[in-house]
Amino acid sequence: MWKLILRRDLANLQKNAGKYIASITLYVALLYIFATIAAMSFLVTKGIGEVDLLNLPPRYHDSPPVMFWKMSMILVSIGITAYFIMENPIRLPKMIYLVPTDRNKRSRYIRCMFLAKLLFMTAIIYLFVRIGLGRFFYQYRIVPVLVQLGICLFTVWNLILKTGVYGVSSNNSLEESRCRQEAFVNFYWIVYLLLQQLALGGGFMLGLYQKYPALWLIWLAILVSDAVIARYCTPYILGKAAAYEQTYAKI
Amino acid sequence: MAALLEVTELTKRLGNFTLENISFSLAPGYIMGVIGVNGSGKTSLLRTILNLYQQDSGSIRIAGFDMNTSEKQAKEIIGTVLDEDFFDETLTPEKNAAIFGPFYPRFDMDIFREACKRFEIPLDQKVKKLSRGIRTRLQFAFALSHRAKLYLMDEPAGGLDPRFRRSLIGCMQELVESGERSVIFSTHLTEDLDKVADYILMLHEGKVQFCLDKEALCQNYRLIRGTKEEIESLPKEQVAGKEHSMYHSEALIRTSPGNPSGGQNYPAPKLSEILYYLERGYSQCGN
Repeated sequence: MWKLILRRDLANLQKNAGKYIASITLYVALLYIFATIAAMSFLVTKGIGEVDLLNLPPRYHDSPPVMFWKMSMILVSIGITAYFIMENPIRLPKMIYLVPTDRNKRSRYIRCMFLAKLLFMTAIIYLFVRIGLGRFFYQYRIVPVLVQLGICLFTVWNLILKTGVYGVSSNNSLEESRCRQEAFVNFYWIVYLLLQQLALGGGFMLGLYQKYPALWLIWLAILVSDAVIARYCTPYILGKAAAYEQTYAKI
Repeated sequence: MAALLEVTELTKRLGNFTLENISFSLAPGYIMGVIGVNGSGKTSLLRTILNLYQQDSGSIRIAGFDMNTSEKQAKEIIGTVLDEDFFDETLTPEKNAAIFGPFYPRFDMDIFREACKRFEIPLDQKVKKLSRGIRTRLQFAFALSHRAKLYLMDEPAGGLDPRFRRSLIGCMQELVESGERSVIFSTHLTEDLDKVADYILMLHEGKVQFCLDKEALCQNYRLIRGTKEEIESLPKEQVAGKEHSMYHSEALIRTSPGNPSGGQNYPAPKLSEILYYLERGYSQCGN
């Protein structure tokens, strides 16, 4: 069964190879554009003409142009990964709905698929940034690493759930009250996460965390709020993704 | 004898369409044909029975197993032939069977291979390269290979050529011969119903119009031919459906015991005629 799912994903990868190559090309192009902007910022702010962004002296690692370059490329990486996620929504093979399985087993399958995709896509973002920029994290200290990784993970979490919202909404009033989860995932949470990405990168650019270390407490609270939202939305949307009626039915 | 399929007051809302209060049962050893015009709810009914669509209320029991609480056990005895591809298209029939067969406790790969040979299904070609007719046969071969007891088929003859359609009808008869298995299938082809169906369930706008055995159905109606005036003079409550053409008019009338005109003097209509007029009648009445 897992072999089949893997095979299907590989087949999708093969089918969309052209699109993925185009996306990677776009990533490389944007990498150079943002690197140029960062290098020009160095020229303007520090009067340094020839800049090798990948081999800067340690004193420039936290400088605003580097932080800007990093934040831009993290956002670009998330955007490209989001496209990959959208191309391959989590779905069970159709036949699983016909063979002797019950709802619990199907839910278990979909949860495992979700988890595998979450880890895989987060790793892809990490690789994109790591390969392009030489390092992924803004700072190698435990709390900043935790916060950055947490926001990245929740962003991928949201995107996977976003593609998990399928099918028609039922006319059932109970179902309608539950559509709030979809509204959260589709709009409020993703906007909240993007603001978090911008605020985190912006904070590093402006050097706020060196001036006010207590800000990290706010970030930890924000991560808790993300976890609460994830807990609120995930069971309902994964439940929907595990239902044939919501994924494959054309009503 | 305990019913193999028992549907009780089943209701399912799908957008603007509702399957409403559907109740019927099917004992082992019988074939039931589900008929109705396009959009009457045949496919939705079969899919709700299979739990592909979650029922809103009512109950579905397969050999005593409730579809809500014992879905796994219920599905172990169901074989399906649907109008949509469920097998993985990127794999061959044999690989599909090897992946999905083990979900069934009584699955036998040898039976699958034999059935594929009998139905002329190439085992080494990917499913996406097979024609619609062969895909239908593949579903049937798979249903046979796990020794299903209840066969649910949605328009099974749709993509089949006349030779295999005939073969399918023969297979349906073979299946129920032992008295342990049953078939429920939806169709527009009244010829197939005439040949194999023991019971006929008619749906119209999501409601059951009747569920009768074929003999009773034919006995309950008569077809009257005459002039337009003669047909129009028939009591309205007696007429199930009527049609006026340039040369003659026809009406299908009910022959209940309280029927004053004693329609029994008229010849019994063919099943296809009954179904034609009933569907026409429901459309004309809008009920």
